[in-house]
Amino acid sequence: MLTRNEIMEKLREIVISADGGATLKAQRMTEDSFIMQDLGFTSIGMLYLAIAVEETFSIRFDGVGISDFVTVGNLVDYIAERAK
Amino acid sequence: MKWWPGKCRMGDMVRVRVGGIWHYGVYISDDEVIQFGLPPREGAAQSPDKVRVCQTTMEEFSGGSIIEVAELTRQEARRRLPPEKTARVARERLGEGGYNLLHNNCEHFAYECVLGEKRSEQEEGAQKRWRERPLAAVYLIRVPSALPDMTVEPAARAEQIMKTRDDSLRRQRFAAWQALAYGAKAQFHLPLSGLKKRWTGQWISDDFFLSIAHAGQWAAAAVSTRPVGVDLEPVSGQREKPWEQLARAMASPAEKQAFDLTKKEAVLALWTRKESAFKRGGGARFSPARVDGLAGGIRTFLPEEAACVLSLCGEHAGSAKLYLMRENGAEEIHPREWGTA
Repeated sequence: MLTRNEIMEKLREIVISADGGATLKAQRMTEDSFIMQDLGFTSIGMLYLAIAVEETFSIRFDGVGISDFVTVGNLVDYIAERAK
Repeated sequence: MKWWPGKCRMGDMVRVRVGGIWHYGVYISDDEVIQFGLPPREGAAQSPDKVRVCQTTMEEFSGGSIIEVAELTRQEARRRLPPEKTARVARERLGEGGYNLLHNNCEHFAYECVLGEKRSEQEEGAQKRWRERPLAAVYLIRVPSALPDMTVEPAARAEQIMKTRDDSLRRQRFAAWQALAYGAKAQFHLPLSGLKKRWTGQWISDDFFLSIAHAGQWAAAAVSTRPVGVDLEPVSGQREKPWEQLARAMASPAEKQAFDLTKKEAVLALWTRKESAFKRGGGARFSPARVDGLAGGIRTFLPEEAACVLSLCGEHAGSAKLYLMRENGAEEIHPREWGTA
């Protein structure tokens, strides 16, 4: 099972890739960060985030929408339950 | 297909912009647009398990925004379902659930009803962006003194390695492949079983780009989301070579200016830069004099741990990470870079 820290590190890499290699948002990211407001993900960007999370953690978003995840912590909770 | 605001006809695919995303539906009449879920407007968010294929009006569907209608290409128009069948199929699916943002969304639904295939260009666009994200990683590994008992895939590569007559070369190839297997799993969560061999002898993947190199006691594998080339040469432990002659044979006037080719390290730097660029290009025959060792997108490293010169060429070389393979995994290293203090 991945630890929350390990999940956060991988999410940071996803945020960096989504931001074209810029690291500032990823460096400032905490579990309390709002995915859309703080990390700048637009609705189409959420598709990218969903794909990235599914592939990085080998999980699938079933029965939940990406908009169900308001904060990074919400996403970490979901991943922690499912990722091995 | 193209999209235009225009007159709709029964069986047309329609879409409306909601924030940064498109919401899709199937037009049957102004009073009947069938969609998978409601347009994701503020206040209308639905939990995916509650989302259903439902009917609405054009006015509701638009929410005051402009509706675009799909103009199919000739090929698409030929293979689409007849409009009456599209309408029937869409109506038959009313009440259906199973919504999934990535794998079964409103766009998939509309495509299926009109073209008979499940597709989402929005999802494909996001997939493409993810697959082409800036990623390049190099895994450096020490060549083992004996071949361990480990599986190599695909089988054709295992056979190739085992048939290598020279023991040192066999171990180098094995090590490079081991590094590649680790890198492919770490960065792309993929095994090497899907790799294929080109007629040039180069191994390729449908899912990522790769390059391997080996010399002396060290081997390296590079993986990336864009074409990549890696090469390395040991600094010591080689039989003395006529460095200056080699440099003269391969270096352009500009390269002779940029590199002090009386020094072995500089010659190795230039050589590995050229070879990594050649490998990135995927050509069949390496002519060093024809490859520009000063081109952009090439970085050269001097990892102390490996006493070698290593060059990486590729679009994402600038953000590449280097790892040294150890017994229990890989450790990121930050070696001195050629041309820096």
